[in-house]
Amino acid sequence: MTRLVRLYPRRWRDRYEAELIDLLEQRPLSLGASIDLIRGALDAHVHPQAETVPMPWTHRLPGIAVLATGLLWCAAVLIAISMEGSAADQLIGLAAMAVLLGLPGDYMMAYGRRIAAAFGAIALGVVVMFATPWEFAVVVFVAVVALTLGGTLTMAAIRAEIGTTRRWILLVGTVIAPIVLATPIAIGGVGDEAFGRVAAFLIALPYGCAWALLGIRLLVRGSPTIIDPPPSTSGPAVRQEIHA
Amino acid sequence: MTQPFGELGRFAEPSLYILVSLSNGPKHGYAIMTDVEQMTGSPLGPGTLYGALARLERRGLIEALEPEDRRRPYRLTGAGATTLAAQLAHLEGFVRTGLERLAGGVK
Repeated sequence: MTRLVRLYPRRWRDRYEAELIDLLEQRPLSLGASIDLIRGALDAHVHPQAETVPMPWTHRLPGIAVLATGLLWCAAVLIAISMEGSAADQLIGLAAMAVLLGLPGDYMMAYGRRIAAAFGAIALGVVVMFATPWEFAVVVFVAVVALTLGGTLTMAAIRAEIGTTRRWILLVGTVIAPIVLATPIAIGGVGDEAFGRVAAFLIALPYGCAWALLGIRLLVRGSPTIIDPPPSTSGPAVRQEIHA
Repeated sequence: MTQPFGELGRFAEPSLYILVSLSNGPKHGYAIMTDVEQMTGSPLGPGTLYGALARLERRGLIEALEPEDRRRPYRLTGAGATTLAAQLAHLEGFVRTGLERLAGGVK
């Protein structure tokens, strides 16, 4: 039943999906009703009632911010691994700050406490890292990096309304797997600049690419921003937006 | 069907049913569906129901209220009530004419 509802255009579903699924759960879907639903989905594509009002440009701001962040991050990583020196390190630092600023504003507002708790955990990890002996510090460092990159990426993925399964694929594919792959290379080549650059490339670049992809998704779909009234205490109410 | 129902195509008749259903108070999708089924004797498909609801909402004939859990009630707007009254009056005249002609033909 839910699969048939997915035939409807995304913007139509943003507006009507929840109540339609609720209705379909009230009674078994007959063959006739299934065909009617398919016809309805076709009609919604041909005559998009839910797309008559153009999306306010402000709703594209989070996407622009996230895309710019991803591109800046990728550029910073590429420059850092191809050039040595403090300037490249500062560029990475700038990109890292942009990641935080790139988190859509209304999400920051709606989940302020959770985000504060997440950054508190990261700060604790950094403190523990500097306070532990070298052999354990490596493990803590990897954990802090995974927590930082994975945490921000997950928040952006939730904001871009990516489902749980895809969110995990994104997280594993662009944070966990690269870190697992690159950590032995980094440890094995301690002191070797070339190994260090390969590890940085493997860990950091997929993360930047993932941010850019999320930015494109947010840009295309749009989402309410801090400029709109705060929707509710339960988080950004993207699905409550009435586009019709 | 006359304007604005004429432009609704295959959704014109279901739209009229929905407006009649909402004429005695707000209802959510499932309540509209069962009410229309009781009135007409035939079920209103979910695709047709929401195709018509979207069109009516877009034309300002109905409006959505605050959702109750996942259910979102709809109610008739002033324009919707006026349109429904005009439509029913038109149909009433049509029915009267038909019955009169039928009665005349039988004689």
